[in-house]
Amino acid sequence: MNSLNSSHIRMSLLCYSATALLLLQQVPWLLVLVGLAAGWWRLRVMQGLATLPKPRWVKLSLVLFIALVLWLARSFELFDKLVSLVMLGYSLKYIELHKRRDVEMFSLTGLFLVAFSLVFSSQPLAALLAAIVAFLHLLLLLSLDVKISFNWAKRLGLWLLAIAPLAIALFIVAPRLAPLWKMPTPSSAQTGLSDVVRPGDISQLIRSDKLVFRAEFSRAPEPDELYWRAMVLDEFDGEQWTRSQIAQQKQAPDSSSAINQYQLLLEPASQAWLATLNPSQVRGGGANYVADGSWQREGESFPRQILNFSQLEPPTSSAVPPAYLHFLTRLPLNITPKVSELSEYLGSGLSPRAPDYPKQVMTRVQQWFLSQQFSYTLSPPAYPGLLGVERFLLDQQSGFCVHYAQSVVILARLQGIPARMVTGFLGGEWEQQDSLLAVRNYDAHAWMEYWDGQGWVRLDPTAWIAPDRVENNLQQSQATAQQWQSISGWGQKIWYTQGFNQLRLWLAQADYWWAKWVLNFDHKRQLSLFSQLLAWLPGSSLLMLTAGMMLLGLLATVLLMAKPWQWRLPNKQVVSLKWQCWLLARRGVVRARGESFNHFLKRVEQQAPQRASALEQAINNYNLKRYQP
Amino acid sequence: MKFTLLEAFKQWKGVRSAAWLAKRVPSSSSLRLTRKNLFILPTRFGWGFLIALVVMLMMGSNYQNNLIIALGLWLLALWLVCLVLCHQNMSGNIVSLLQRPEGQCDKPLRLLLNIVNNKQPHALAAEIKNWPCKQAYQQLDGQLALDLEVKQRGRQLLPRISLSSIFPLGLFRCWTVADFNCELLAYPAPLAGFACPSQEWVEAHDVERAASDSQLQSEFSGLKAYRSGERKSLLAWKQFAAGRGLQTKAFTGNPSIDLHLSDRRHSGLNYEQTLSVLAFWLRQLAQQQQSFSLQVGAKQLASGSGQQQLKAGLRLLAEAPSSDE
Repeated sequence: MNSLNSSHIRMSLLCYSATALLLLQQVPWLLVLVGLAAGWWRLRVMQGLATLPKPRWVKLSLVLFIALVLWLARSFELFDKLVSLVMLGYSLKYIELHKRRDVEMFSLTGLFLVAFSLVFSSQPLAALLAAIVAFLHLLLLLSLDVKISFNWAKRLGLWLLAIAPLAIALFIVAPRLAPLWKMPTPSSAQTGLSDVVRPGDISQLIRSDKLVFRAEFSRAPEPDELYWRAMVLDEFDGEQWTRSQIAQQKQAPDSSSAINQYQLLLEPASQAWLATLNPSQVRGGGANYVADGSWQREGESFPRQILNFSQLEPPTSSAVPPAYLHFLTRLPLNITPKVSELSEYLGSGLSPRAPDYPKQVMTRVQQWFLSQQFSYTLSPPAYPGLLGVERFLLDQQSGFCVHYAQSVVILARLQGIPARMVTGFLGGEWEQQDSLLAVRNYDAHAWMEYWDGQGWVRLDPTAWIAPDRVENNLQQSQATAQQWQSISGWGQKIWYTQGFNQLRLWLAQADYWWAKWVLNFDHKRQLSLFSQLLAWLPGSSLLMLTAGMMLLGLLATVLLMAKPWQWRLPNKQVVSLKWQCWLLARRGVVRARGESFNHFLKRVEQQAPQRASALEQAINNYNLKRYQP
Repeated sequence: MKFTLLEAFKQWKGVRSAAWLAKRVPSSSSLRLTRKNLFILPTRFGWGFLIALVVMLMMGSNYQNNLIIALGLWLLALWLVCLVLCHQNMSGNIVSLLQRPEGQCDKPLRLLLNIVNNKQPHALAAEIKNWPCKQAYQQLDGQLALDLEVKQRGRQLLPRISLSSIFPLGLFRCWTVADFNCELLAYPAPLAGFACPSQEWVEAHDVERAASDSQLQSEFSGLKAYRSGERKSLLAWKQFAAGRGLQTKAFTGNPSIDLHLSDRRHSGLNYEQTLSVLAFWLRQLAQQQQSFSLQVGAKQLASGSGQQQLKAGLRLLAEAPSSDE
């Protein structure tokens, strides 16, 4: 039983290829090739077509491969390096795949690699693929004892399904621990906006339909409220916008009455920013408030995460330190003369002392923009630096939201009005009518805020030029749908056509439930489920409930394994026959194995004549039932 | 001191466990595998798998990744269920010994086990602890063969045979140690190259008469090439004189020329070697359909020929008391 044959190797090669496919984006592809070559060569050895090299060569090549993998993975994050090294061990296990133990080790490593792949991706499809690969590894283990066939695969599948109740019960009751220690995170978690914005950056983002977060509302919000405010960019050096140190200081959030509740279901991301409606207040922790009015994640959060927020009544007035307001009027010194002239023209005749001076300036700016031939485009020309600002405003007059926001902030600051650029997302796609909103990368947007003396006013200059864009998202709005089609890949083009709309929404729905109930089944959710169940089953403690659920799962599994629905209920005649036999056996007349009833009856007539008639009756009844329908 | 104490402890433990086993799994010719006589524990891989699952669950909770936790818990449920499946695989079978293992010392002795059930157990393995050459494999029709290597001739009590299976996924090992209360019999290994330690009853008489006698009782069936050690009285001298080489006359039926073999010592051979030489000659004679009688120690085997006689003779040799007794 200890020796392997080539069918085991073939099976393991299948497992290897499936695992490699699962991890292809994380490990160097050269490594996968090496593993496939090693597996193929091992198969040849098993078939007697090749020979094993000397152990010395094996050791040498092992060292070389480790060096190669470390070199290939040199730019990887620590976690990816780790996965690559495990994958290397998995690949090179082929060199010494001799015994049962080696295959066991191989399968176990494979199962670990499947678990690693789940760190990278937690989409339902990825989970399904991972389940298939895990199944293949279990099949490989099974093939050590029996010759694998379709029947056996089916049997293993049935076992795995039969244990589902137990596994689910375990999943529900198993305590969710906090992370015990910090783990290295994989590199492929970059989503969306970055801390530094150059004009044109966001137009790269709109090519991606990657989900950023979902929001679930308790009450449908107004469409024009859906400005997801992520980052405030208040420092401009002439080239790029960044976040100043002052703005990032932690602060106690403003308090006012809540008008709506919403829940953010965040996709994995390594950045700290959170896109929230403004103003909002976190419920139950998990985020910090900073001075510029935005929310930041608490610490690093790699997996999908749920945060609860209350949307607040906009404050009528707020207090901002004058020094910060002054900071928000600062501009690089070398503003081009033409832009200065434009600013002077826009501000002429207005008194900076007037209480509604900022508002008047902004109205003038709006009027000027509307009077010009501005257009909105998804593929704007490059407008580098301050000269670019001038070219956008006075020459080309065609751009993207960042260009509009940036230029209006510069014009406001030139007038001495504190202003800042805000990036985030606008709108989203409703996945459930008025309650579930999906926000994707292409919803990224930029706008500005200015200080009107009492508080911050949100102003979206894009809305002046392309009001359609603000109301709908990119592929729906008339102005941009055509453009978006032309810059997106063919896969996206097909995926976003009308025909696939229903399927797309349906898949999104599945993904949402998946995320909410499987991926985010955390301690809180567990407790809330328990308390719901407790309310339903009065008078039982949490411990009893846990034990009960595990017992229920176990029971269901036992039932599925024993398949009582396949049991045949014995009919009356058989029972009475058995009863007669049992009575006779107590008197010492035992029916022998394979003895016919007629023969037994003859024996009974001799040995226990007083019971013979009853037995005969039972036999006759049975025969009647059995053979005369 | 330490060693003897340890050994004494080991011995005591062995005796205790043997006594416990004797109560638990009493010796009988056939054994029905039930909850009472089946034992089950995780294999080394089973423990390793469990540890790996714990690591996987820790990884899942460190990444706050429910999918990894789900995978780990699913595999944990599978681990638990394999316990049941592994036991189910063995339970309910009836194992019995088909034949007493009997054979030559230096060749593997085959032990045949019969397994009866409505469904065959998968991946069943049999072995005997501390017995060299354990090579178990399953055969068709529910029979399991176990080839034992026996070094010493004679009658030996068969130790407990452990029947085990690690069938689903190798996570658990379910086993029993069956005692079929059976002895194996090992004949001495044949030793060639020595003269036959025999006395031909006919040697004293006239060779010609004996030959004619034999021809009377058995039929001449032809000539065959002479092999060294064959009786000279059967040589076909005429053919030899005609230059056709040495040939012997072969007879079918019951040749009357009786050889009397005995365990009297050859010069330069010890008693065990003498028995081996006898074992060689018994085979030779049986092959030539030669009748012989045998005396080993105080025991006597009456004259006869054929496979039956050979077996009886070999048994006599196997059971011969060793020389120093």
